[in-house]
Amino acid sequence: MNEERIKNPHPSPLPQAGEGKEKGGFEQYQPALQRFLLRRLRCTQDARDLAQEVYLRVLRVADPKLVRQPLSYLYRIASNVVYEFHIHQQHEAVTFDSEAMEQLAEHPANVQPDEMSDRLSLQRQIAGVLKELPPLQRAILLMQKRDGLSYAEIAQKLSISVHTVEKYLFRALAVVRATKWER
Amino acid sequence: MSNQRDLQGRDELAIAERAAAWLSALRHEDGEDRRAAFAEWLRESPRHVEEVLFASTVERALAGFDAKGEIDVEEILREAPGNVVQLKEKAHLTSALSPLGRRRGRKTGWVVAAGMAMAAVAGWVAIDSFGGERYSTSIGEQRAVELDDGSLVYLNTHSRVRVRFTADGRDIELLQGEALFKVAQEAGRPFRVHTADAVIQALGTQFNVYRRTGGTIVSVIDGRVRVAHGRPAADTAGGPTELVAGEAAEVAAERPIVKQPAPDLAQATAWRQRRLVFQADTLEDIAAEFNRYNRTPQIQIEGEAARQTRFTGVFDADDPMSLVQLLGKDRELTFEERADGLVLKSRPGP
Repeated sequence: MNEERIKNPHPSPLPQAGEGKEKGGFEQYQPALQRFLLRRLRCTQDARDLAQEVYLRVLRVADPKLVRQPLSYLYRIASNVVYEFHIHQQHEAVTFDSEAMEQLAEHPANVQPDEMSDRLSLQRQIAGVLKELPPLQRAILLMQKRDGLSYAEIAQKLSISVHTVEKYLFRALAVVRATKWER
Repeated sequence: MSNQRDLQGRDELAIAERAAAWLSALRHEDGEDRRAAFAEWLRESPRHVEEVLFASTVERALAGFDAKGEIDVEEILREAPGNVVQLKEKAHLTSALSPLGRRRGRKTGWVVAAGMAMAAVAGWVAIDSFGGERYSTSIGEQRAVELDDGSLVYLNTHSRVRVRFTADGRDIELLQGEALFKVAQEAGRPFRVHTADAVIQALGTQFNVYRRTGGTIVSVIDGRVRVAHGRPAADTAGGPTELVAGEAAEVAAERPIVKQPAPDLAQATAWRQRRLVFQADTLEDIAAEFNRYNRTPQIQIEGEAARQTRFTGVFDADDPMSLVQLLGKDRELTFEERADGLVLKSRPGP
């Protein structure tokens, strides 16, 4: 657990005009937000509360500002809300840390045992969820997310339309999200 | 490992899919209009906010999955069945079959129904000056809309609804096409769906409404609804009818509301899985259904004999060629490709 990150959660200002095209990079935002959401993939009241609070704040953002970088705004607002949640709940146990994933690969000995088991558990669960997807959806998900193929490349490979590739991919992602995740 | 999704999860799937689609769209075709549309969607519901956050999380979690490439995609693809379930039987019966399927049209009363549709639209134009949200889908598109009261509307392909909520009631006009409604219970604020032919009133229930040229078909999945004619109906039309879960009825102008003797609710909502289910349906109706989902190719049937031939089968709605290819194998049918679409017709006799 990294207490430091929770206490010092880069409370940087919201994105400003002129920052350029939105990249939609979830990674560049709060690891704490990612950990929070990962732990609440199971539909919990916490996630509902978070979404409700973020929603209310999104409504308050002026339209042109939101339109300029909607995803960046969303992640940043959510990060701030999660930070405030943590302040309220002090030492909220955060057991999943996405950054430690890379650490684990490079220096397995440095990683806390419980973190390692969480990580392995997540990977195992993803493997389990994928197995339940129809083969075509599973193949498309792997080709896109693991192998980095474009929709057009997948469509050509499978002799189906790009529209169908998208349809199956979004369905597969939704099923993964809707899975009952274990802790 | 408990990977089953519960029932609620199934309903939530549509929003999760939409969230994944938005993330993809913003990545691939970033532009002012798209971002504005996304911002608008976010502002529609906290559920949308929640699902976008979770969609991002899922993508992040998947990013490091199977980095060593141990899973063989080719092997998975060998497991994949073709996307068409073979025609199980071909029904050679024609009019002897009782009209069970909801996909069957009644061509009588067409002129009257068209007149009624215009009258109904005129009525709603006046109401429209009070505002009202509109939602629509283009050919081949489906979408889920969460309304302010928490009710969900799943719009099938090429469909339009207009939503008007007041303190006294929740009124939705199905202007075109088909929709499945999952109604949030709210005492004192009835939930009504209007078509040219029918008014369907519900409280805490789930039902499907399909507005066709010749009438409206209402199928109740859960709870109870009250179905009435859309306008003060002629004496011949009879009064309103109540439908309970498992029942379906057709409502057409100037005819009594007819309960279907053995409705197939799985069939009525199969469109949510983008499956087209036909049970001894005429080729004419089958082609019309495919054309509803696909702008191209449009399938035409030539000749009365071919039009009235009946088939049973399950198809992927996005794949009209699968129908054409299978029917092409039928000894009695032949097809040709023309500039304006695909034409199926009877093979000339020997």
